Amino acid sequence: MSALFSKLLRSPRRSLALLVLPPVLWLFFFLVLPYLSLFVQSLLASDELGNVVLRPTTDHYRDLFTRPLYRSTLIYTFEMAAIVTTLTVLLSVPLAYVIAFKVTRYKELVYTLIIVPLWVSYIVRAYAWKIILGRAGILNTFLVYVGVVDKPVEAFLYSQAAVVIGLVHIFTPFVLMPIYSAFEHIPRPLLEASKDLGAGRFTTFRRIVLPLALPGIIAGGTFAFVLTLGDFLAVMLLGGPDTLMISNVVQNLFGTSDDRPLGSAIGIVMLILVLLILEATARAERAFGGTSSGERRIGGVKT
Amino acid sequence: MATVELRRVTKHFGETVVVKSIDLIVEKGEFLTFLGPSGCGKTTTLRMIGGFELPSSGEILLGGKEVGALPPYQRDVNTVFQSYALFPHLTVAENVAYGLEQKRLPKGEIKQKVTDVLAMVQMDAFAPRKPRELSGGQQQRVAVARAIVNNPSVLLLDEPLGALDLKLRKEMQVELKQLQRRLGMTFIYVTHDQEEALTMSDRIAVMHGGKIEQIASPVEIYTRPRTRFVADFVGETNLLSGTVEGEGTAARLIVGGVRLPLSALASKSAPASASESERSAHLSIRPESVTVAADGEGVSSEGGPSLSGTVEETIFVGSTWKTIVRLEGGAKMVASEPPGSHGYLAPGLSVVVRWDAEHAVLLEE
Amino acid sequence: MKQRPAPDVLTPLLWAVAIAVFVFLYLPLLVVIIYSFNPDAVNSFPMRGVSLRWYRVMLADEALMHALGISVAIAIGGTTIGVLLGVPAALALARHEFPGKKLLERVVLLPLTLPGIVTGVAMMSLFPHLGVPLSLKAVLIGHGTFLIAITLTQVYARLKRLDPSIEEASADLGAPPLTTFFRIILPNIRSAVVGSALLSFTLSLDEIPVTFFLIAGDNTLPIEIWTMMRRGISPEVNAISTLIIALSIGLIVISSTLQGRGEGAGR
Repeated sequence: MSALFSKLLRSPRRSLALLVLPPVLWLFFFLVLPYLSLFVQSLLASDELGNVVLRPTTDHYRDLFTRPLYRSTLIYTFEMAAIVTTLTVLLSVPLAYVIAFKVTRYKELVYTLIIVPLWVSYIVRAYAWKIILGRAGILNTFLVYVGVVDKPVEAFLYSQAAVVIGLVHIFTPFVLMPIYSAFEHIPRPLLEASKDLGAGRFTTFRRIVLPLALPGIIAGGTFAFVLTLGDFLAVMLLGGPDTLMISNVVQNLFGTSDDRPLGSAIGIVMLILVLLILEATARAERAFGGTSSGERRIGGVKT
Repeated sequence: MATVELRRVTKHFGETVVVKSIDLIVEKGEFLTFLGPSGCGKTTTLRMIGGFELPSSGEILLGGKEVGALPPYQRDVNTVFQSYALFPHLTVAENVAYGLEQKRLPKGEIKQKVTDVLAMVQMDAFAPRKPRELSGGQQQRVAVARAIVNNPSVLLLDEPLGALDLKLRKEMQVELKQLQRRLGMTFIYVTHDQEEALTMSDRIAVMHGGKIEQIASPVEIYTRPRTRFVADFVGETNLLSGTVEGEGTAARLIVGGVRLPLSALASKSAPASASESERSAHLSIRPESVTVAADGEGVSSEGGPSLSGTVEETIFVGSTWKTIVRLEGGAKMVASEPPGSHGYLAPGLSVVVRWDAEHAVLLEE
Repeated sequence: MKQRPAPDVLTPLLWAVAIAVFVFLYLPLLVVIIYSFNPDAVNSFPMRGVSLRWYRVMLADEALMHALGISVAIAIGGTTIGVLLGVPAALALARHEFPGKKLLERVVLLPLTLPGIVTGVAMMSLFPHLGVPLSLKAVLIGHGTFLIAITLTQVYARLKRLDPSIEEASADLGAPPLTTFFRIILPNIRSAVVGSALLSFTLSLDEIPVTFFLIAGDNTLPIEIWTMMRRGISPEVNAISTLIIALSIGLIVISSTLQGRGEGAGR
């Protein structure tokens, strides 16, 4: 009898079930069902009074892409994402390059210093720009103090530029990490070989370093792009009335405007978009030689 | 009562059958080795005895009791793992004490046993060290100590010497054998190294394709292999293929048109098959049983088996002359003779290859 | 034939840009810290003197301190959930085969890969139907859910590097599965668990998007600060921000020290 009991208990399936069931159940109820419910909600109609009616419809998806307000916001958001991505990458590459190739001592320390801002709350970093760019802020009082302008410039804060600056500031460490990692993994013998063959520094960079670091740059750029798409806080803190991004629209629809089905539809579209982008860039990274394990042989040298 | 018994034990993973209905009895105090190439099922069989795999069918009995469904922690069996599997966060002494602690023995007794067994494997000085501070050979000894301190009825060893260099391996082979004799413990050993198996075992079970092809003492396995695989896997051998003609003392093996007399034993065990006149068979002759002499020279054997051929290559290996002869039929034979037996035989020379019929074994398949 | 080296304009330029970016990353934080000591209520340049005034105001701000307490409680609770569910999930993924393994990996990571707002509105839409109205309880569940992935990924990576034979050896020596878990597995994944816990704690403290949609009355710290910011600029926010910066740096130091030491080799 005890042998049978032991057989049941020790069946690998039992211990597996004990391990895997609690997390799976939790995730099902608190993660999978919510996303599913969002999808379902996006297909529900609203009547004239704005109440949700149990009638399936794809109107909301249609509205999102046809109504000028939503369409233009979507396009604007993509523009912002492109701008932020470009700027963060442009800022990260030189800094990452210098730390990876030019800093000899204390490299670990310097790198950790770069990462520290990541751990500082988003809200604090956004706030920093508020007090710098505001009308009575530090930049303005500084400019007045040194006499560059007569009176404070209004246009710094609550503008598209402020949002861009804020997002670039907050996201640069995210973007820098994979780029730095990619630079670090380039075997130094390759650079020496390039110089030995007569290539100048810039040529070496253009033809050896950059292509090999491309997977990391793509990864970093993807972070910036996806993070910008989903951001609604920066606009609320640093943006003006005409700088709304798609996430702000969603926030509105779930808040004061109270049109949950439409908000859900936009949310689902964002979800699919992000997943598609991630899949596309993952493939691009693989195509350019990146592997998820990060380990590969380049030119015979194990990285 | 047998210490370990396997009855029709079979294991398949999905579609693949890895162990095909094995029957085996292991006696108390025996040093039994599962020998075979990778993929033959030897490790899987060992793991089933240990409880790390469940047999798909069949019974496994330890000390007469069926244990097939029991988990490892309820079997009176201990294992020395191929990777040693020492607990990295515990000291050597704590590692060795682990099994005794699971048995809830008193602390004083545990301490004593740990000290004793570490002394037995000459690792007592290393008791407070961590595994990562030890060399491979030292870790191996601790792994053995950790297992035997629990005094199991059977000790399982899964290719424990694989990671050691040659010299250390040979030393450890002797040490393990001596340890086993001293303790009188039943050892079941797994290896793919036939020399290791021959050195250490009381009996060897040669495995191939999930089956035991032959189980016998090392001498028997070497001199009287039963199948082509065993003859070829253990030591070097010459395999001659031919057909058997006649019966009893008149039986002859026809190889390349030549009629070869067979040993008394071989004549008796000549295979009977469907057609009486043609029975195909294989003969196994170890190179050390073969002599080579230039045509015309050497003792003319009184009817003993011999074949003609030309020398392909002669290699002097210090302790032996190794001669590769290409027979008239196209097959090759290798002879391994002491240095004094003849001088250098040049390639291309016509020679006669001879052996004592009693040393040739007729194989079953 | 090799080129003659051109005058080195590139390297100083590169360093200049790199340092400029570095300054860009740090200067705003330094500004916040410096101006937390500003005696004035207005962030003007230059600062007239040094004062701890705003720290005193901050400590006296009941709503803020209350929110801090709530954030810490939720961080502890969320981290606990994340670890309690993440470790078994990591064990299952690392040591067992089962259908839907890949799916589980993807699903667990979703809250980290998707924008927080999507997860936030999704949870907000469903939780009330599960009997969890918008409240701190909802926030706790929400945090716990996305924190599972943090522990799971770290512990999984550690388990993959650990020799699975030691678990078999433990069973071989007579230990039932629970004993093997506590005496053998746990000590060897300890640093991964602690590292994940620290990271989870920090992420929970700082979390805004998901929290934003799940709270009702009480605020967590970031939401409270946010509310203060919406009301207007107050150097009190500088003070609490400085504290957060200091705390973050402290946690990083602790975390990298732990990772530097690590455990003994997996073999």
